[in-house]
Amino acid sequence: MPVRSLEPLDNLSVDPVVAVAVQRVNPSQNHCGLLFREAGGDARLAHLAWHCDFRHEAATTTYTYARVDLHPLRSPAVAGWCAKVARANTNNIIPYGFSYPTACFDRKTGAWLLGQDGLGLTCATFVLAVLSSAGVNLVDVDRWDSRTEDEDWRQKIIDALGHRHAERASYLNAHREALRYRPEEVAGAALHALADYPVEMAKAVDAGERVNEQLSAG
Amino acid sequence: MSTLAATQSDLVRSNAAPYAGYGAATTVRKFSGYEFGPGEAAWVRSVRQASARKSVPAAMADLYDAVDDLLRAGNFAAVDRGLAEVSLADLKPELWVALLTVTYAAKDRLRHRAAFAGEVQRALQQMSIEPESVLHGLL
Repeated sequence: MPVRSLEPLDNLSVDPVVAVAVQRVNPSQNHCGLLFREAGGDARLAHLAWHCDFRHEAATTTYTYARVDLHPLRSPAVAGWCAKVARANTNNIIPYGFSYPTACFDRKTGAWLLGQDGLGLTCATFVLAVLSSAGVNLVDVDRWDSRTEDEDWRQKIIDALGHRHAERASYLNAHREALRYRPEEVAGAALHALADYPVEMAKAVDAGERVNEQLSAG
Repeated sequence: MSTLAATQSDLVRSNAAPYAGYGAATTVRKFSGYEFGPGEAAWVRSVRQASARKSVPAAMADLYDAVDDLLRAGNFAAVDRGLAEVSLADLKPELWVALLTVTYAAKDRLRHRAAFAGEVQRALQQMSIEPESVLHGLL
């Protein structure tokens, strides 16, 4: 089955729906989050914008969207879980981190379980972690590889965090050994068919390049 | 020992070593009423009633609350009993999937989950829906 394309917000009016929201921040950096719409509800966006800066807000056209391939019988369960996590974490305690912890959200409340000082998430691993908790594993994390250029990215993040969050930057500097899942690759993985989940790295990277092309084309 | 007393004891004991997949239950939970009663498991009754009376999102929220309470408390037996007893005809199909979703992380502790999943697969086939197109990753 061919990989689908990103869609504008207007295409996601059928509920319930779950999608990876992706936007270009600067020429070398994208950002992603989760769009979800429960039956009868509005399209909402949940994303980790930065260290202890979780956002739960109305979905906007500043993002484009990679719809997660879910059957209509399954979408309500996943959208409902996304909504629970979104509502439970507006206290801004999810730290930024290079790790990809599993079982990091309370199954009952959706709240972040790991505190502010240890393991954290990126915008991309936030999306992966929430969906994984709902049984949707977008990428094959067990066979993901490190890339030398990702180390440059980690250093940029540490430098940027150091301006306002020196303690956190110091922590990340000491815990920088982690794989990177790029926002466009997470969005690209979502564009595959459900049967292809979890998407292997090479396919996610390819799909991520097409996501980048679409974002560049505006 | 009554069934109720045994269940309460199980809840307390389970919090000494909470099930890792459901986070750290740091306090002893108060018994919340999802005990084994005569007949069907109480959580099945509440979810069945919610399925009949509420919207899918509201019924799903009730299902998540009921099952997660039990799983967090380590009361796998009560969840398992419900999985063995629940009738698909009493739940909206979206709730079949929700039940498989909420129990996925504990599937190795739930003896009757595989049989329930098999029932769901057969029911989907009878609806002319390819089970894998719905349940991929949940079995």
